[in-house]
Amino acid sequence: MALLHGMHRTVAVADLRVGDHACLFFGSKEEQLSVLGSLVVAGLAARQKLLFLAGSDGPHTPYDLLDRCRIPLPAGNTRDDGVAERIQIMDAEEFCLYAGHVEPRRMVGRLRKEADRALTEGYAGLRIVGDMSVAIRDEDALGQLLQYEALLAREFRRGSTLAVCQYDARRFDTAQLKAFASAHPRSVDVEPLVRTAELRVVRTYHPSGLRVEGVVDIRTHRHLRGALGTLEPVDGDVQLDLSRLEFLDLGGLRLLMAFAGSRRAGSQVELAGLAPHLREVIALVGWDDTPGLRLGADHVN
Amino acid sequence: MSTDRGANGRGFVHHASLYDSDEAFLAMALPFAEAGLEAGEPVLAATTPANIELLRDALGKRAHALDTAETAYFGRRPVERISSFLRYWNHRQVPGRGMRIMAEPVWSGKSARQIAEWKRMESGLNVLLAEAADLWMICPYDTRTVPRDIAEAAHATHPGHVVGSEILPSAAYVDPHAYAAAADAPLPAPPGGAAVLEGRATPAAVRRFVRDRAEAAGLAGARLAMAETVANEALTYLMSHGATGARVCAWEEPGVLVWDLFAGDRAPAPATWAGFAPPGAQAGADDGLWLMRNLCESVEIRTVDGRLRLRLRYAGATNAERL
Repeated sequence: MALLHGMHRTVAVADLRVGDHACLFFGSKEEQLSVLGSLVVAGLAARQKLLFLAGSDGPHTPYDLLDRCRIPLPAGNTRDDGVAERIQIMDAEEFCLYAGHVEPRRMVGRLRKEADRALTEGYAGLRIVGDMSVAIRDEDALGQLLQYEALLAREFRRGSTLAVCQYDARRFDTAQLKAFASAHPRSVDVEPLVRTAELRVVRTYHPSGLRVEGVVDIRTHRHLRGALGTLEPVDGDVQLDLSRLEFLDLGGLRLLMAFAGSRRAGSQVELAGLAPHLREVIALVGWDDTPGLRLGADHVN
Repeated sequence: MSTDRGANGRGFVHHASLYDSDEAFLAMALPFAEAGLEAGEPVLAATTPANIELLRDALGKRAHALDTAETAYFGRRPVERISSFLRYWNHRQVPGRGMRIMAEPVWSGKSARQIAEWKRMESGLNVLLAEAADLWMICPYDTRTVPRDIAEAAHATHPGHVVGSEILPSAAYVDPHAYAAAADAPLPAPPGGAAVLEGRATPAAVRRFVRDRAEAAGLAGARLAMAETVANEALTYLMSHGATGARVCAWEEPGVLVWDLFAGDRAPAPATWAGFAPPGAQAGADDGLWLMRNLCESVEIRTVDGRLRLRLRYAGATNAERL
């Protein structure tokens, strides 16, 4: 969720760099996990170590985190791929609260240690992601947390670390969110491309594409068309995740087919989670031989 | 007449041919196929397996070049029949060369509703295939098995008929639009016990209404999802023809769920043959109607007091083909 247009630069997950200190306000577990997944994949690809500060509801282990973010295990599906060593889960509450209080200096000191350790262990750096919402018990804690954010911003401005602080937007009022936002030079932008009562479309990064949720019908075609248009500059294969679609009509299917047909030759558009009966519709119209179209795994009811 | 070309040799030529014996069939079919094959034209015989065998035997070696389709499987319903023709056309068309199709629908054993639909389609072909330049189609009718009314209708739905290799004009030929208008009898009112959608007929409300009714009627899984798709396209069709609302009701008949959507606003009547041509490269106003025709047992469109009415019959849970 981006609420602070113009206050500071929003950055796509894929464009985060070491030295970045960014905030992310999420509106749902799904949204949090989606961005978290992108952050994890990008971190692994950048040979960074990942430190995740988890709430009491988890994830509790590296594999738990991968499962929740729906990140497939690397090729071979083996669990001795070193991924477990590269992901460290820390209890966010235990990290934030010392004898019930938020202790900014102590927190930053711990992170400094972890960042140094990541380097000695031979990683390219440390990527810290955490849900800070858990530390908020009262106004006092809020102030402490803002102080921690300010310290953190200075601490990692140079070096090999980047931090993304996640906040559950449902737990704070606008003023509080603005305060957190202003403590970060950047925010990770996961504002849905479309957010109407019927339809929500979110840009995804790993794989690159869109997640379409809700209803596509005569009332929402134009929104879907607009969202598909944002993928025009994206090269290569894209995936359209339709697993959360409640309904998709013929006109909407046509938009997807036209999109697939408009991509550069050789690149694929995968429709993942398509309702099974729509395959029949696609075949009936003869759209199944649309160049570049790939019908992924069916929607599981 | 010669079998080198039909009436004008340019556009779509559509003839009937009534025959009452194997010999009479061959007297028409053999020269028709021979001349086409000789000219290097694609020739299709979409007829009964028995007639295909007759024609192949008569053609001898030349039968290797003959395309054939068992007619019962070359489009079960009119809308699918048209798709089959167009698919053949698209696959076999040679620029600058003619094409010949012998198309004998299955008439025996069909219900009265189906017979009416097929007669109507025979007439519609004159409009729907009008763009298929250099296509000569002959529709054989076997008077040994085909009832008299169907044989008579053949003269009303084909501008000419062929006897042996003679082409004769059909004096009884009726303009396709007039034919359809006469064939489309007014629909009876929905039965008293029909369920009626309360409140505004938004796409979401219509989908929910139809889904609930279909679920109550025992549909599940993909068939249920498809029912929702069909209902949505029906309302979308009315909306894209200017309707801001509709009266929607549903009831059951043996074997089918029936949905009736009656537009709340006046709109120009759609083309008589709307929704028979498959969707093209660009979105078309009748794409949804075409889909409905493919997914339903029957689709009827009427204009009542200037307002569109759609009545759809969708196979119910007792349809064992879809178990």
